[in-house]
Amino acid sequence: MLREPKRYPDLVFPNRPKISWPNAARIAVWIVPNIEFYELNPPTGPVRPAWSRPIPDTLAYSSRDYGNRVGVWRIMETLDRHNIRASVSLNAAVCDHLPDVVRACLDRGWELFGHGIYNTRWIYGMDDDQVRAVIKDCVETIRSFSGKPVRGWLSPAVSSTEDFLDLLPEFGIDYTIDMVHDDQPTPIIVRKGRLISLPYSSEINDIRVMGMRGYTPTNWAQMLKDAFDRLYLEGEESGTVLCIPLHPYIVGQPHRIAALDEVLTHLKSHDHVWFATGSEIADHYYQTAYPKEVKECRALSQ
Amino acid sequence: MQGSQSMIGDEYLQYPARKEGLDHNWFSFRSVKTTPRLKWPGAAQLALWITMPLEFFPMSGSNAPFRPIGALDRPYPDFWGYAARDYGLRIGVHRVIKALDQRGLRATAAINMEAARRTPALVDALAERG
Repeated sequence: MLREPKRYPDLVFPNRPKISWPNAARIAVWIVPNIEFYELNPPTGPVRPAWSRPIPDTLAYSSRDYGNRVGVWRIMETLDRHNIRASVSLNAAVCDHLPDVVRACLDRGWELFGHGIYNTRWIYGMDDDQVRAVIKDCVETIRSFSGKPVRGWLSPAVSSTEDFLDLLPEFGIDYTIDMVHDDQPTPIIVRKGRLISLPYSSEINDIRVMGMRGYTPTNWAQMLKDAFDRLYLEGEESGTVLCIPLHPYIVGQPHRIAALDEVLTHLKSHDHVWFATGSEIADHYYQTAYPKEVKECRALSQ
Repeated sequence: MQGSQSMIGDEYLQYPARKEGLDHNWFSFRSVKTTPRLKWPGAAQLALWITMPLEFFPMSGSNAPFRPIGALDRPYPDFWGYAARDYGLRIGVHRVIKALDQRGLRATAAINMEAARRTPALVDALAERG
């Protein structure tokens, strides 16, 4: 068993490499809706059943379905109003089941990145070739639908194996959001190729804050605004990243969607903000701070 | 009519520590009414101390016989849970230090040995501040 990941460098405060975003922005903001398909009748993997209640769990299934029928369209309208593009963490099977939803994302110029096949099929317990099959299927399904390469990865339900990060670059993936150790991109050590981590969030994730912990939309909006304000302040010294993870079946509810609108209004009222997609942030980081940081990263892996 | 079947032994109805005071010897009972008056320096009415636990949670930790407070809660290998806690040592603690510095406050750090071993610069920063 691995005692620790040993996948990213210890960047000691306050002597971290400086990150400079385009146009003197202090903060890069990216919005990540997780567009997911939960199967009604998935097989049970080695860890635990995908649904907490016996199959068919019609209540839980239909709440996820609500996200794709209703919630995701509310997110699209809200982002459209603010003229912000999203980067979608996409279960590839959504392309097969609900192509209209994926097409609507592409119509908006949103980025699509890999989130496995179904959110009810996890990679726990897989050997490397099985994980490769999942990544390949995901990347190829999304690419053939969108015509664009798939650059990013979040494992379905944040499932993992010891080696899955090593396999991502084999399929052209060069950023992962499977770890939440920083407010800035960091290199990720892999056997072959190159990979970085972009900041995601478990702490201000709608599913955790409102879905699991039961905070109100008002509380959630305040958390996001507070996180933004702090990262905006710190970004004066070295560029930071705020990620807003969204789940259509959570934030897309009628009593919650206004909170997202309120947050985006707050963000838009600031000057030095870069509203970007995952690939845009990754490209800029690879071209600027990455070469210096990866040296330290390699030293760590010796 | 038949009575209930017992599911417990007779010792459940015995109370060996039932006497005046508490049922252990670690410290004795004391009520606020009989406590001698405590005087802090400078006639302060309240002593405030800030404690900051700095912890290390291994990805390979066991949750048997029980899950340690704050330990990782997803199936192994929980990169996500490890990284979320490591965020505290990489970033969060430095925000706390900054907030305390700005107000001239010192804290008491309760440090896991493993966390200290991994963050020598952080330990130095805490020691410098007393």
